[in-house]
Amino acid sequence: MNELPAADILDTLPHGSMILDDENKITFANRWVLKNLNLKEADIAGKNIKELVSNSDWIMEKLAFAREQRSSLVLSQRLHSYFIPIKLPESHLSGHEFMQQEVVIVPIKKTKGWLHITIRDVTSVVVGDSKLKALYHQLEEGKEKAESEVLRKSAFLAMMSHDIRTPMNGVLGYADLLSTTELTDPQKMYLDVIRSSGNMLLHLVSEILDFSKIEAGKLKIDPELFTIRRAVREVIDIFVPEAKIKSLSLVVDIDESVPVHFFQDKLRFKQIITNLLSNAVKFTTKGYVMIRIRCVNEVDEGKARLNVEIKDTGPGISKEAQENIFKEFVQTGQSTSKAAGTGLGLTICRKLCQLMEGEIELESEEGKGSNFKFHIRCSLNEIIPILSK
Amino acid sequence: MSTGLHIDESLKEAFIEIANIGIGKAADSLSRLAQKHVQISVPTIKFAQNESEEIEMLKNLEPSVLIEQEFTDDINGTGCLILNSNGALKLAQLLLGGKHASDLFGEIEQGAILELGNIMICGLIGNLANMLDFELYYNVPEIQLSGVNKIDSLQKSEGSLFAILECQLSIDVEEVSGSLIISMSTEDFMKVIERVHSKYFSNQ
Repeated sequence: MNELPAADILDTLPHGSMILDDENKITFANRWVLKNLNLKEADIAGKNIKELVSNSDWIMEKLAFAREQRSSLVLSQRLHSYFIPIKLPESHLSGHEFMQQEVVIVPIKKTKGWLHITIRDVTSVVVGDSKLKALYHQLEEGKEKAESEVLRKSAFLAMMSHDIRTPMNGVLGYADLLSTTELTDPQKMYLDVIRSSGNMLLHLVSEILDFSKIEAGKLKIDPELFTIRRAVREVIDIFVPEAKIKSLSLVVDIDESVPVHFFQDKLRFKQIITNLLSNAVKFTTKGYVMIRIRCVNEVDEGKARLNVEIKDTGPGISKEAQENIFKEFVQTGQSTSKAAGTGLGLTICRKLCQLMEGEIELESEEGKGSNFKFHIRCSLNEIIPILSK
Repeated sequence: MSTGLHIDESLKEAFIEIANIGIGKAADSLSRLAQKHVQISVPTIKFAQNESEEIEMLKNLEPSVLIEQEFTDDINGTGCLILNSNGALKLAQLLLGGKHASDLFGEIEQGAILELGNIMICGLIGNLANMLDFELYYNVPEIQLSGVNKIDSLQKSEGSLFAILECQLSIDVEEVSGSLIISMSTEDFMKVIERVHSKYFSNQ
């Protein structure tokens, strides 16, 4: 190793390499240094480094310290910018006048105060770094702006939804009162249209209100002890007339493992089932729609998990549509007239499940029906005292 | 493992005094470099053997930045400055001033922290060497963004002893905590203690 031509090796480095004697005279400068300073070897040999460096007093002090302490020293770009001023072309993308450098000063062992200096060009790193930071800050600003826009939009929607619901309840209430009076057949028909259109509008507004609450993080769950079978029955009853008209079987299968009571938000639980049953009944033209409920005790976690499936023999949902089905404003490929709605129902269902410590998923194949499965949880402690009674 | 390592209180005080002078010089150097008022508090010192609680505690300082510099010759060991990542970033920002302030710890900030660690380690170990007449040679300092790995490898070296100096760096009015660690073999550590004793306590 000792016989290898060290100078030739140092010449191949992509960094600057210089050797100083104990009086700071340059005894060697590699090709990189000569090229960047536009000097010949004869011009630089024996020259004192003080004549080349910027901030010479500080540098001389550092060199003396390195020599005295026999310590390797680092001179960072951030704190020194550069060691030797090497002018960059005016057209240089960096905008810096001089090449930005990082320098390491290493005392050479077995010599009396000789130093090896390595100079690394970090101009492109500095430029990349500052551009990266600028982009990062732009992204941060954009994110903050977008978040505040979402909050403002949600607040606006919530307010508007509330303002629409109030007069709409008035319209529906008076339509109900009007229906108790004596009306001609055409008047009864007009009134039915007013009531069904009003109810549809009210439902759409409710979904928008729920969604805007979700986006604004204001949707809260209000758990209470409720009777599962009764809650399911109340929802099923809504769909019996429509199922009868379409000659669909409505099957309810509640396993023995299901306790009488559950401790969760009853209204939100009913809302999920209503939404899923509504879709199932709406899109199924023959066969059946089934709701199946099981309960599993997760003793280790101290939780009871209620598993609910809403299965139908409808048209099914394509794999492509399944990927986005729980995303907001997405409707499956069924005809627009049948699928009238905001496209928010399943998004709301998923969020409600998550708020009730659960999740929702879909199994479906085109032409073979759909099976929406969801679960919610409650603390076992809340229902065990009831079970033991 | 922390049992069996008993350092006389007066020797411990002498060690702190030497360390204090060293890091005082480092603070002065930093002040001039950053053109800001830099103060370093008088360190507290703990001596520990590997696998001791003190070393385990350092490993919990995550995510951390570690600057290390090995020294050889009369005594051999490693000097380390360990900072938590937020502290390192804050320090870089304080040193560089508001115009460079950023919450990203890029390569350029790492360079500045490497230089800062270099100055502090050299201040500490260099002063120790000067005052105790040791001749040392220092390798090129290195920065590690996952400092815990280095502590692990130092810990695995058989018979290592650690002098852990906890101190506060204040730049202008802001404070950042850091730990300076000197790791040496038991044999070299005893050389230091003996030298402290012979130079400063032999007449008592």
